[in-house]
Amino acid sequence: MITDIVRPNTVAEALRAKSMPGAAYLGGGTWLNAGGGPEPSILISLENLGLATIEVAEEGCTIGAAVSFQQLIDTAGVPGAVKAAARLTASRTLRNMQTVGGELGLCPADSALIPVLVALDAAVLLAGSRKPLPIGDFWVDKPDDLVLSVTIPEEGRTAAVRAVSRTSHSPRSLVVVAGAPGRNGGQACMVLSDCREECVVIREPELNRWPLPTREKIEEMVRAAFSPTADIHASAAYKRYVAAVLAADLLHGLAAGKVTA
Amino acid sequence: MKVSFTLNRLARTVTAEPGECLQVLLQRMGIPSVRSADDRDGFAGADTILFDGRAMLAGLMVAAQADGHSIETVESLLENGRLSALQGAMLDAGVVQSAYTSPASALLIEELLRRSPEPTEDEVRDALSGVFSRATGYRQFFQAVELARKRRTDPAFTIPIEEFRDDLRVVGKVRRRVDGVKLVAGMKAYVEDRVEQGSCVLVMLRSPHAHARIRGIDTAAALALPGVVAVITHLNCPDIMYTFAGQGYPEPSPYDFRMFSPVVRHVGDRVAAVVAEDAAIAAEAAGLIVVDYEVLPAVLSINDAMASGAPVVHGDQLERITCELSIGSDAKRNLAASASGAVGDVEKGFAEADAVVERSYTTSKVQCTPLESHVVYTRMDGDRLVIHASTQVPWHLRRIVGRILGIRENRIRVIKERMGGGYGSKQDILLEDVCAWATFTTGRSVFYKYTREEEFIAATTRHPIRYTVKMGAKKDGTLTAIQLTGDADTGAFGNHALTVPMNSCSKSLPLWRCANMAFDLRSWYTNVVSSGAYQGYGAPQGSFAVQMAAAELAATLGIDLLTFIRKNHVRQGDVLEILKSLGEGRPGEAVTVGSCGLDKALEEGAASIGWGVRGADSDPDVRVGKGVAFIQQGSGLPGLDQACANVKLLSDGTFMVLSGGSDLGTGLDTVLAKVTAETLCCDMDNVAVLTGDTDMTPFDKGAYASSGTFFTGNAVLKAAQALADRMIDMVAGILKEPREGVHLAHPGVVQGTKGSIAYAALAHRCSTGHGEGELMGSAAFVTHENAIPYGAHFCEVAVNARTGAIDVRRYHAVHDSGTPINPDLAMGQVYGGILKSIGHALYEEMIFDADGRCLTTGLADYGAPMIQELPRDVRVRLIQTDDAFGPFGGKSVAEISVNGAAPALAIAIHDAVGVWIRDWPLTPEKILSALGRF
Ligand SMILES: Cc1cc2nc3c(=O)[nH]c(=O)nc-3n(C[C@H](O)[C@H](O)[C@H](O)COP(=O)(O)OP(=O)(O)OC[C@H]3O[C@@H](n4cnc5c(N)ncnc54)[C@H](O)[C@@H]3O)c2cc1C
Ligand code: FES
Repeated sequence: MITDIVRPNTVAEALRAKSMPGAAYLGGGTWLNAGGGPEPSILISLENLGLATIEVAEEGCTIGAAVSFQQLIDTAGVPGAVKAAARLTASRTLRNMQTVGGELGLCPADSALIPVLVALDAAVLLAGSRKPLPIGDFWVDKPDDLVLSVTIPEEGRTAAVRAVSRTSHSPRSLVVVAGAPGRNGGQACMVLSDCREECVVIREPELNRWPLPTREKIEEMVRAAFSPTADIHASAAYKRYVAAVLAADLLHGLAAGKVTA
Repeated sequence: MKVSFTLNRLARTVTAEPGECLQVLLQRMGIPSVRSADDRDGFAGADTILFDGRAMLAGLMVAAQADGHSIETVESLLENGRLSALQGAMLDAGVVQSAYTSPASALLIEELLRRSPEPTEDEVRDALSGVFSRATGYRQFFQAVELARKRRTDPAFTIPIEEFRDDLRVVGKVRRRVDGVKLVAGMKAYVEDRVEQGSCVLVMLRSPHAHARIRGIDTAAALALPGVVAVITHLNCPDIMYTFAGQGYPEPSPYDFRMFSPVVRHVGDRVAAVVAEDAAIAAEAAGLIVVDYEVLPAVLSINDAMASGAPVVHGDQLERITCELSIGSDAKRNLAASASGAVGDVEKGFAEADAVVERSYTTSKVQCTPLESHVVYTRMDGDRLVIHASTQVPWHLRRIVGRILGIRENRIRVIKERMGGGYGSKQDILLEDVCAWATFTTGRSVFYKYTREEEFIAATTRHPIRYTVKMGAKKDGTLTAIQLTGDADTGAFGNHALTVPMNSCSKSLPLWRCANMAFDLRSWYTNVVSSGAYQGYGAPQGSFAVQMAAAELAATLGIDLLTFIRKNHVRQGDVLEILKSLGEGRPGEAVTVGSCGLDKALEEGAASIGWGVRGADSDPDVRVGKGVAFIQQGSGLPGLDQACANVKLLSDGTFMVLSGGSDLGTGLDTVLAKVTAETLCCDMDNVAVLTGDTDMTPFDKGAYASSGTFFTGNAVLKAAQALADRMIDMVAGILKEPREGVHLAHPGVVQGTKGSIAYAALAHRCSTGHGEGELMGSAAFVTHENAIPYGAHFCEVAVNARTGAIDVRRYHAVHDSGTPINPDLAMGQVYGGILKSIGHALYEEMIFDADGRCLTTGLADYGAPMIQELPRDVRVRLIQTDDAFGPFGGKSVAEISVNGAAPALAIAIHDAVGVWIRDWPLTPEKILSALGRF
């Protein structure tokens, strides 16, 4: 049972509050208050920590943990693929609530945002470490620490994301992200999530060459690497087939400048 | 803790548990409009508030979060107690129907207009993306926003909505619905708003098994828990068999249900009811009940049910099941009902054909998903039982509950409150019986509202039906024979087991002019949550099978489908002989088609969609195709049903309509006000309507079978005419002139040749010490005629042949509903039906595991369509035909609109990519699989 809410004014206070038994950081509360997990006893509100800002600078874009999904969409300079991932939460009302910190704190299996951050080589700044942690490592380790921000390096690269679900609001069966190298660096990649257990990142060197391998070639590459699990809305065979098709189409589309995020 | 925040511009401080749900807190603070429709699932948005100016869900917030912030609810929109311009616009655009989420929608539009005063269509979609509106289909929201926007500078601005019948003053004209103000203002209107402090709450313990015998049930620990008032199980409930189908008596459904049974027949079946002082205690006590189950083999599909040696779903109580009518039931074979019939000679018909197709089609189990889940509140008033119900059938409810409780009907009062959606599933008595029993035996007031999960595991659904259709035609397209075989899955109980499959025939076969037709139907018991009534009542399933078979036959013959339809569709004056064998457990009657707008509907729809012209797409992987389906429904059950009404002249010359009808949000009360105002030559605001109160209003069969306008409307028309006759007689007497020269005249006088008397003066005269008493007209309406609504649905889809993705680009529906009495609300009904049926065809599906457990117990998992699923271009056109039997020529509207989408879309998909998808839902995966892609 929730017995208290605290509103720390500094990160240090927040960390201290977290050491109390049953304490949990409160983002938008869309998971925490929906009974998604064990009910916390103390909520730590992040509203006074100044984490609800987005900074767009030459070296990259830094997104505070308390930034809502809707803020991502409304702020100029946030990469298109990040906006697109936010938009995959189909309800604007929910987007007003969900936060980047909550998404990273939870790391839901059907996240669209995290695969996009992977494709964009983002790094996560945690309260307990000076150096930002590469998002891929963060995703694997899921450290139990306060997320302060996420930084996406500015390399001029592009990415695009697609999800497969029964309706716009249904749980996702598949998230497919493709990233193309930018003028200042970065590698082409494909991130494939079956929204259950499996998430595969493909960074083959030939994807960085021009011309790209044919769509069929890329599809084969994906099918060889990705073994999704079925869910109630989609069989494993269908997921694997569609993931390959979407990834190939996105990569080719990005290369031809024909695909939007 | 003390929580301080600004609520609707006022500083408020309340004491609350920090973790109390903010939605619950707001209701506690006297804000009824912030409701819960999905148990904090974040889907429906009934609990939308503006939190520091941004739309959020109070259900996903806790009280402590509000501290120091600002909250606005729809209550803040009222201007000096009157509707805001925006709320008025919503009423005028016809988007307020069952209205459970109307307050939320109003807030979302308010927030949109604050940040974007001139919103684009995309912005409107985005703003409303978090609110589920099952009834409206969203389309008219765009109009509502436009109206609200324009009225900021021009308060008199109106959007022209087509009106009908120049010869009439109010019928066929756009008028605000009579119950609109309280609904859009978020005032108390629903059952949950009637609950008094100190009432008990009921929680149901439900079966985890598809089929099991309860060897023992120990309720001692539950009963010992402080605050528990009663526990009801099969050991202490009435030992009465009944059907929970709210149909006219005698019902064509088997009496196979007992309030609690020692054998549970589906996952979610009732095991025990706990009545306690509050919900938390009741839930805790339910957890303390120890049940010893002997798990029995289960029947989970039609195939299982019909297999030889199959477990028998009602094996424990075969000798107890009775049927009031002959419905072809054989429970020991798992057969709940069966029927067959024919006209002509199908074998001869097939022999005459140049081409015959025989195909199988299946439809899935889909849920009504009313925003307001099933709910009831029961209380004692002295020694009388009062039931505040969200029901489509107040009179059937009273009769059934009276029988179960063993008390006479004069001791029961049913008050139908405003309904936050029903769509058929509130035609069944799913919780009223047990709550009534709880109140009757404990004397306590009891409230029970289904959780969203219970809606999926314990509320009735559409029947899944597997059809085989055989159809033959000559080279020139002349149909020679149709044979329809159908096997329906009625689930654990036989409510509507006969009538839904029969209706699937009686609304699909008579659309065709064909001399030789035959049908053979069976309804099978399975250990799955019961099927039942759902808008369309079998017609969507039958329509899918027969229209698809016709399309496949036309394709086989190489004939354009529209040409084929035009050659074979029914026409005005045709006698529908097949209906003789579709009498629902009784002999049926052939019906003559009194009016039929199909020619016009097909012509207009084809022109609008550009039939015969192939659409294009810049993406070479995307193929575009078109589809059509033509549809019908009925208007009530002639020869079976009845509606009664009284219309009273009040002492100031205004009128009161008392009708047993049940407005589910469709606008029936508004129809009744219009019919009365038209007949009695007064303005609509001089007519008040009270419906659905078994103490105060006369009998009515209820809201089903599309009977509202036709039956209830005609009863009110007759009652108003009877009152008019009395008024004329009286004035003729007073003026001492023949009645032939006396008539009613707008806005409220009885006009003779020698003078006139105002309604108010006449009423006053009647109610003085010398008067004749209050003037009232009473009438009952029964008929052997049918007013059949028709329609044609056209669509265009774009299918990506690489990904299987289906984009419904355009959906154009043309409806012949006779005289559209409420044109705006009628359009809204059709828009709602279209999106609902697109949902059924493409997305919605109850999915079960191998043990019969439903895996889709939330609206998002289930695939309920939201505004994003609304095609960009949806159009509805109403064409007027004059029906001789409907009130002012009106026919039914709501139900028919769900009958077209599935076949039209499947036919369009075939036109696009060349594969026939013969089972619901039509998913990308099935398309790719049919194309052999994986
Ligand atoms: C209807 C609905 C739909 C959803 N749809 C999606 C979806 O489409 N995709 C998806 O990925 N998820 C979805 N979710 C799951 C979840 O709500 C989201 O992942 C969301 O992003 C969580 O954000 P929040 O701010 O609301 O998190 P909260 O509920 O506030 O918190 C989530 C977790 O993160 C922790 N946390 C919060 N902030 C921080 C921080 N700064 N540092 C460390 N830990 C923190 C919390 O303690 C908690 O454990 C959905 C949930 C609901 C109710
Ligand atoms: S979280 Fe409330 S209606 Fe959904």
